[in-house]
Amino acid sequence: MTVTQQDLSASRPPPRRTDSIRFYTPGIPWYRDIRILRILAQILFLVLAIGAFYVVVNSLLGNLEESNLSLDFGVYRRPFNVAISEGISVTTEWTWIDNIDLLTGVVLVIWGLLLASTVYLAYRQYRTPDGVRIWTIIVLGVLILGIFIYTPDRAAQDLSETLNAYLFSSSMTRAFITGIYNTLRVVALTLVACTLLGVFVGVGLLSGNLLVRSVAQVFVEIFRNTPLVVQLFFIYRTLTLLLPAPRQSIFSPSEIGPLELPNSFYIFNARGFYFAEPIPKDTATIVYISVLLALFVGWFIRRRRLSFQERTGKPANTWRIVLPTMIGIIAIGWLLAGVPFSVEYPALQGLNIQGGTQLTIGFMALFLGLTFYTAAFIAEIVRAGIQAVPYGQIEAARAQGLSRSQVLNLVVLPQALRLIIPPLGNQYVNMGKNSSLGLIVNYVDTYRIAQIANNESGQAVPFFIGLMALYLTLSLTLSAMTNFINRATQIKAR
Amino acid sequence: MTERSRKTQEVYVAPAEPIAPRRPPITEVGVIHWMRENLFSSWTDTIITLITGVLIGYLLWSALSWALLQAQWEIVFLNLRPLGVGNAFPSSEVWRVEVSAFILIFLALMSVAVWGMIRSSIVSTLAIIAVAMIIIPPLTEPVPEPAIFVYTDADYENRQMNFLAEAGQDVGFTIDPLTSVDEFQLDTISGYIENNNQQANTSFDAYSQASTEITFQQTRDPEQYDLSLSVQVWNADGAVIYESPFTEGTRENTDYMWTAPATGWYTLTIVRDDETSTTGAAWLKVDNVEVFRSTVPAQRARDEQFGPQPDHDCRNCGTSTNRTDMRFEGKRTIPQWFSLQLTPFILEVRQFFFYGLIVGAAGYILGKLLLRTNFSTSDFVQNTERQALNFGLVFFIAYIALQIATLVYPQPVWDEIRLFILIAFGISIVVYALAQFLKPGTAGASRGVVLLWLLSIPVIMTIITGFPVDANTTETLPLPEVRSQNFGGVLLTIVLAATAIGASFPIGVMLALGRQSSLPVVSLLCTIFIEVVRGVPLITLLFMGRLILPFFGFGLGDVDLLVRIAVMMTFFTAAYMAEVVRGGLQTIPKGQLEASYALGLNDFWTTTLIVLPQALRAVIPAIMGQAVSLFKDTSLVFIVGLFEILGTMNQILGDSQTGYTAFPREGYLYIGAVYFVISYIMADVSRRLERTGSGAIRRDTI
Repeated sequence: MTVTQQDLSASRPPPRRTDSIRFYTPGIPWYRDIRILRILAQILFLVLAIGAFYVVVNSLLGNLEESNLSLDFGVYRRPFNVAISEGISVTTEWTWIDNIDLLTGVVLVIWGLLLASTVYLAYRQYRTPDGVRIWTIIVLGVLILGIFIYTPDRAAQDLSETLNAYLFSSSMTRAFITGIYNTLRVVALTLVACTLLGVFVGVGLLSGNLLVRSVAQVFVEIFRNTPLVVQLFFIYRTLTLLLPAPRQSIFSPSEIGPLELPNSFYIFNARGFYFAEPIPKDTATIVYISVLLALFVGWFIRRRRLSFQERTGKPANTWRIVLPTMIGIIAIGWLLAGVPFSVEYPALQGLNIQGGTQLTIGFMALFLGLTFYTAAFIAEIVRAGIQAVPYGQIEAARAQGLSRSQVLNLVVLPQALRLIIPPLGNQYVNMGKNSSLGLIVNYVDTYRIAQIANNESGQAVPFFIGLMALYLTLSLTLSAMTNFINRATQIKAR
Repeated sequence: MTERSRKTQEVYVAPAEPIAPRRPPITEVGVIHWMRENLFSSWTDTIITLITGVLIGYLLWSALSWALLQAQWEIVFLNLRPLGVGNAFPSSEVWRVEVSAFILIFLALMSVAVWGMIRSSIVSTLAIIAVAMIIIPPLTEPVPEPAIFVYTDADYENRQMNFLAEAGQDVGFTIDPLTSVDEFQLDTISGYIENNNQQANTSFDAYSQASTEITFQQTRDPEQYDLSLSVQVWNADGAVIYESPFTEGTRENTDYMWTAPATGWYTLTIVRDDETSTTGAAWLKVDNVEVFRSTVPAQRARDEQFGPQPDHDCRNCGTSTNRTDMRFEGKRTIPQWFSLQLTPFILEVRQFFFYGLIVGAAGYILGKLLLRTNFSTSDFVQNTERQALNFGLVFFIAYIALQIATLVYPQPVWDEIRLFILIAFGISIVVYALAQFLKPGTAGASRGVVLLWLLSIPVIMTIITGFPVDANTTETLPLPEVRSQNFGGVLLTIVLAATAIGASFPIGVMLALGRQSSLPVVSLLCTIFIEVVRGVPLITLLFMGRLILPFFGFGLGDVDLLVRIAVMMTFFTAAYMAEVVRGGLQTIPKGQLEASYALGLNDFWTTTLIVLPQALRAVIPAIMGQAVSLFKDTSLVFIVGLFEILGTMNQILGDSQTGYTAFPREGYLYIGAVYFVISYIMADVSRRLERTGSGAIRRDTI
């Protein structure tokens, strides 16, 4: 006799709601009723918290007024009279940016609401549907992009050719946007570099080769156990001490064997590193289109090859077909476009290097310091993640006849990744926060701008609030990004 | 076929004697096997080994040759005191910090003795360092400091130089006409750098000066030389007490000898006869004059002994050259490294090191002895313990009551009574701790050690900060007050780290419990606090502590900057600590809670007696990791103007007077090494705790 699902549910009585809300239980006085006590305790706590908050803020406002300071965000509209040596400024055509004192307030309120909702969602991490979280992240990202969309200011660049500095006599808001751009630039570059270096060193920690293993170990121990500040100071002061003055700059070699090259592919000196910069011409659009086309064709062929493999069981050999095709399409596009890029070489003019892409010493020092420091932590995470994969898995994979790279790619890494990603996200958040240390290597990031703005205007509080909002947004975005990746890589429980 | 072959098959019989075991192939034993396995296991491995080996060799070689032959470690070993306690710490009170350090070393080694064994590798390392410290200084020969050269020529103004001489000291002067390019002179002075008081940095480099002068010489005809020079020595009042005859254009070296009549400052002046001197250049070489160290304490001591340097109004004189410091900056040899850098360093730290060694050994031995004493059945011990605890409680309550009474109704006489009660309380706690030691086994001893650590906090605080001096009375107290704004260097680092770790722990536990609470409001507020503090960089909070906290009112503006910064660091660490503790809370199996409720414990006692002890024990390694992280983060406080060890080093590097601006690498390497050693030790302790499993819940025993 078989019992179907139908039978079972039919035989069971329907569940009855027994826990209907009742505020009164017979026999228990209200002051002994745990449900009422809980509500009372929370009300008391809330009243206490709000009261303390009110008293503190009231006292703060009173004291600020006494010392002629205020919480007025209009201070963002004041002129910012300090030259910023690097970064990008918003086009001068957008004059509304100089008048956003009210808007700044609105933006901060929206940031606050988003922040509160994100914190609340993080608090309800295990109960929230994915859609809401992703939606929040998207709104956050679009909002930030919408506010801080910039276009390079050609006028400022012209000015820079004489001063090698972007001189701002415009509003604090513009300076902040430049600072935010600089922060995001160093964070984005470091994110990529520290992950690559960290994984490399982490695999090195597990190498069978004693020398490689000990080098990786020493790297990790040194960079993990010394403060980042000391590392930054050391790198920055060493670079400025050892690199020559602009007049004695180090140029790239002018000939390699029989090849004669322009001797300014790169130029190093104590002010910065300068690289030749490709400037796109009008025909460069053809190259961009061909790259997109190549990507699409590559994706299509890969799909076809994989389904071929599934159908026939023969090896797909994806890359042997996809790579030449993609290279071919891009090459044809390039040939069609003629010479799509002209190269701007840096050159010594007077006391300075002009032209090309410039990376200041401050940026290099911050980038290197952050990369090494974070990579050391990531390496340990990667090592722990790989070691947590049971050795039986590897043995089983070898017994199946998988090659060494297949064992790593198909068996070890997918399992290790699930353990690696959550702590990796913490490291990214830490790195984003650590980027505020740019001020000690004279890198003009947001924190430095806030400091200068505070010195210029004497109004600490609005800038402090702006700074907090920015870094909170950065941290939460980074952690949300990791959570998203984390969810995508976890095993789907059935 | 097969039948036949089977018949003709030979039969092998095992030999009577056992076959002698063959030696394994040479590639499978010893060093060769180890190298094959670890370095050359495959051909790719071999290539990697070779490339890495060459790279490491090159890096090590260049790093070592820089560290031994070029680096200037004077910036470290001549500044150990500022780096230890800060520039502003009164130098007469430094002994108090040293005593506190010895107390800490004593307690640390006592704890090691009670809770574990000291590793033989550490003992042998310390022994090697101790032996090296005894042996090396007498073996190194001092590098003779070179004679001082002062350059002059027909176009220069007259040159002047201050120097110190003791009574009866012979000082030799040699006027050396620069009539030919003399490589010898370059060699003699090359590598020594003259640090001039007037000139800001190392630009007045004797070597570069000499090389410019000598290049300059090459452009002029060395045959033409007619300088007529004379050497004058002035005393501190500006009177000429010695004057040599003019050289009248002689092309030979002219030597003079002068004996100082009394101890004190003298001024050397080169006087040129302007009427007869038209062309040429000359060095004045001064022998047997002391070269001064330019550290601030050394200058202060010198000024106290001999008075300030004379500053004469000399007609027709150039900038007066005050000789303060000579540093060897050129290429060194290894023996020169020993005598110029290592020996002075050893002499600076030797006394402290050996005292520390003795104190530490005493603590270790005492700890081991106490561990082995067995007064288990002694009623006396148990009675003493109980009585000490009772008295301690009474004194404590009395102290609190008096404190409240002082607030309500102040009376001057109560201050003395309070001090008396405090001392009595301290004595009863010490007695209680000693009674703990006398109990059997590890448990008693470790409780005693914990008590001693707790007791050491107020003792050390009192020793270092002292008692506030009443402005009305003129009597000198044994421990005059040292304000916290005078703290600096390692002292400040440790004060900040210890305060923040200690204070953040209870706050972190509260926050974690709040976040885990079933009351949504409490949980939400705690979560917001934790996430906001964790989401912003520490320097933002420090910025707030320095600039915004004073505006909050409640007298926060009058609070020391150190305290405000410590509070902000405490909040920051508490948020991280809360997350660590929350991790521990989540490891507690639900059965533990159910069992506890079944026994009739309420929420409070379940948390206190069942959940927290297990949760905290499980996260001891993570808490240690947080402590390491906070310890490293203390290096950020220099941004808000506190001079901990990194801030002090920045002060030293930025101070153009001392002329260390060119040595940031040495300075920051030293700071990095200090942080590395302490963090590594902490991380190592945490790793050992993790490995021995004293922290984790033992599932198999539950």
